[in-house]
Amino acid sequence: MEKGFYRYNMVVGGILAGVMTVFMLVGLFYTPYDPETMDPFLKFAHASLAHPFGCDQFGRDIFSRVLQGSGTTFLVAVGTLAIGAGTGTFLGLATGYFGGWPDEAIMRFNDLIVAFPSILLALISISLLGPGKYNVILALGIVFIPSFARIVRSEVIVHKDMDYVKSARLMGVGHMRILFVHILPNIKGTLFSALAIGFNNAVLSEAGMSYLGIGVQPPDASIGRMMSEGQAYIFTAPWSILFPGVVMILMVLGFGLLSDGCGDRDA
Amino acid sequence: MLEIEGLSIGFRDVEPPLEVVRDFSLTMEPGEIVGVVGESGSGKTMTALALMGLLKSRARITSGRMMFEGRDLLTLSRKGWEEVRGKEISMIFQEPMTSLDPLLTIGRQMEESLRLHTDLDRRERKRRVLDMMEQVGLPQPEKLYGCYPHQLSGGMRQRVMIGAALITNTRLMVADEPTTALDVTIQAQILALLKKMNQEHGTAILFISHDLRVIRSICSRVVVMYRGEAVEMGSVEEVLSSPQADHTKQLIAAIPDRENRLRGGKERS
Amino acid sequence: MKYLIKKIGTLIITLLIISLLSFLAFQVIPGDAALSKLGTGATGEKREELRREMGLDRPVLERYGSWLLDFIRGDMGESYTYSIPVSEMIKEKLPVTLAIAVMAFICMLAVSIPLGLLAGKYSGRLPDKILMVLDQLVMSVPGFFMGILITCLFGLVLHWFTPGGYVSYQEGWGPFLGYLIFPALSIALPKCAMGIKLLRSSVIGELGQDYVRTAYSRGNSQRQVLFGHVLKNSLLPVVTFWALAVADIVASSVILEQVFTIPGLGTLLVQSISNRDHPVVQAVIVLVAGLVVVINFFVDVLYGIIDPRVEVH
Repeated sequence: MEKGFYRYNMVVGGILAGVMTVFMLVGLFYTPYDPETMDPFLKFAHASLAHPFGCDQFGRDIFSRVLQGSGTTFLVAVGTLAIGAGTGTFLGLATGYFGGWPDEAIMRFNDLIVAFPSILLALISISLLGPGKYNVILALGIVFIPSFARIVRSEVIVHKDMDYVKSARLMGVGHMRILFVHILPNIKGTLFSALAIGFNNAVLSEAGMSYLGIGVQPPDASIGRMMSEGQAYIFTAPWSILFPGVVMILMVLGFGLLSDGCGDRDA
Repeated sequence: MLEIEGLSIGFRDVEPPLEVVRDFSLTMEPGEIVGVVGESGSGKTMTALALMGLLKSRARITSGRMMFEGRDLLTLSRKGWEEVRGKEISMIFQEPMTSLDPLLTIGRQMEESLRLHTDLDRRERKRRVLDMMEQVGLPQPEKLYGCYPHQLSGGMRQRVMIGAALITNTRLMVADEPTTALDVTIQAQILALLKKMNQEHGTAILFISHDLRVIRSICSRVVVMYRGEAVEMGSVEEVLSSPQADHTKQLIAAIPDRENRLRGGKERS
Repeated sequence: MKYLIKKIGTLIITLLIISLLSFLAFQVIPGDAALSKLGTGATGEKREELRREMGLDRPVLERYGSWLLDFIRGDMGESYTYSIPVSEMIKEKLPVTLAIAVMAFICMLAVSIPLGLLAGKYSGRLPDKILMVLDQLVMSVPGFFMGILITCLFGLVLHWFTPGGYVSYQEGWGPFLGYLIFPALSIALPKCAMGIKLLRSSVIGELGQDYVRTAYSRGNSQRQVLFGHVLKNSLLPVVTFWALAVADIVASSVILEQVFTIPGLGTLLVQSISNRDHPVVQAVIVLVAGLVVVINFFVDVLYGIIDPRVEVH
């Protein structure tokens, strides 16, 4: 019964995540209207066939803006994962497998980092680097390294004592080959789940930072900033904040369900 | 005192429905120690759990009757079971390591049945627990009272379990492989303790084990179970010296040869 | 006792390292403090003079030492933007953020413990499934959007509070806390969702343990088993989560203060970042991180009290 429930989660999550990924990818290259074009006649226009999400206080097409913002979000999330998950996985593999003092040092450092809330760390980095899309990617990417390193490390520690690794070592397989050809494919379930969660955290963090006005800067579109601008018109034009919000929730929900389904089952 | 008649237990949610215990019958007199022996999966633990009303929800008693002191256990409500468990029938388990709550003190766990089933005040309960600790051979009761399970060895934990089970002077104790997880010397001590408590308190013990040697050393009568059915029943000497069922013979043969020769047991069949 | 001493030792070292890192982070800013204070138009001489005045010519560790001592004594430097002591700016805002965080934490406990127990006990049945779907949904809502939704629901539809009508604690604690309940709720909800999920799986795991069977065998009722045995055991892993959640709660407060227009530490931090007012940013961050570490320390101690096995390792 439980299992069926989780499989159901995974299917729904997979479909949702897939659709939203396509949405975000489209947003990188195409929008039906120019997201920046203002049209005074369309100020606060209701949702219609021509403008499915309606228009904002300047008469800009909200659907196009959300689409473009999703593209930015995708770029930031993927960039963040490339830095955070890439470096983190590498560190986790190396420290978990070889152990010794580098392992100890990195884990202590990890414990320390946990004390800083991740968005706070990102804010410090931004205050040092200045805002902007690429700085957000860099800041979040660095912030995400420890959690990936920790997850991968604990998996590697379990796997390095398993028989298949031992026998590979006895057959004279090199360390690098054991790590990347033997161990890595075996921890892909956990890794995939962590990636999905990481994607969500990146999306949420970017939205939060942009909402605060210290994330992605104009002219790059951002759903977080759209919502911060739309908040003033929550009564006159609730759609200007509702639709971006729902799109964001769907993105996060899809990957959340997916991670739930492919990670460790808790029942 | 205890009368089990035609007991069958099955899993209903699998196709075809699986019966793990079929038509099992057993009677016990007060103060008796009866063994149930069989290999793992033979249904002996299921029987024991059914006797405590502790079967997991997937397993159901499909037919049969269980009478205890003139009461039909199968008609008991949830509330009724709560009155029987720990007050009239108690149970000890195989794994003394995991059967105790890791976060509660030994004293707190030993007095639990008293707290649930009597009106004794805290001081009196403590007095009885300390007394019981003495009886089950736990050293320094006052000190152990405030200790946690992880600070005790496996043998000591099993003593705690036994003391906790007997503290309300239950008429029957179900012992599900109580010595299996312990090493041999400790095993002998625990068996001796069970025998002693049986004699001093007159508690009847239904002793479940896969090991005929253990059964032989403590029980007066034995039931041999095989694939959910009682294949043989009788006094321990009878069953061991002239086993009727094939499975009993196999169990006897499984006892190491040296020991068999020493005790004049049956040859390999 | 040994455990406590060890933990206190770790606490002090962690605090030192955090302060050192925060200090160093602001030493590597392109263009040093003297430059930011004077602006780019200043001459080299003037800069050197100010650098000496500010002590920027001394070795880094020495500066760190005196900065730390000053910090402990409550002297956190002066704001570049407003030229008033940072400590005064912080003193005024700290109670606000603290109040939000504490309320959010209490709210998280009050919601997630009963619901987590319920979901775990009835796992696989309808109430559990509904709760799990809701849970996943709530976890997907960005913090600020949750705040906006709550503003909509309680402020604009139900009229339980006036959005933007923040009342300072100096004017009265009742209205102050009454307003802060809503941001606190917005922060707590996603944490509740996570906590419920964790506690649920923990309860499911514990219910299968041998000691639960033992408890039943002694005549405990379901309720007695659940509250007398299972609850304490299943809370252990969740306590660790709560410790981590503290950091998140404080961080979320930064965002939710913006949503609800509350002048707390978060608003101060965001403004100071925009203004590149480094002394303020530095002080707020050290303070918040220190706070989180200290709270984590207390959770660790609490953990040691709940779990007798901790003393051993």
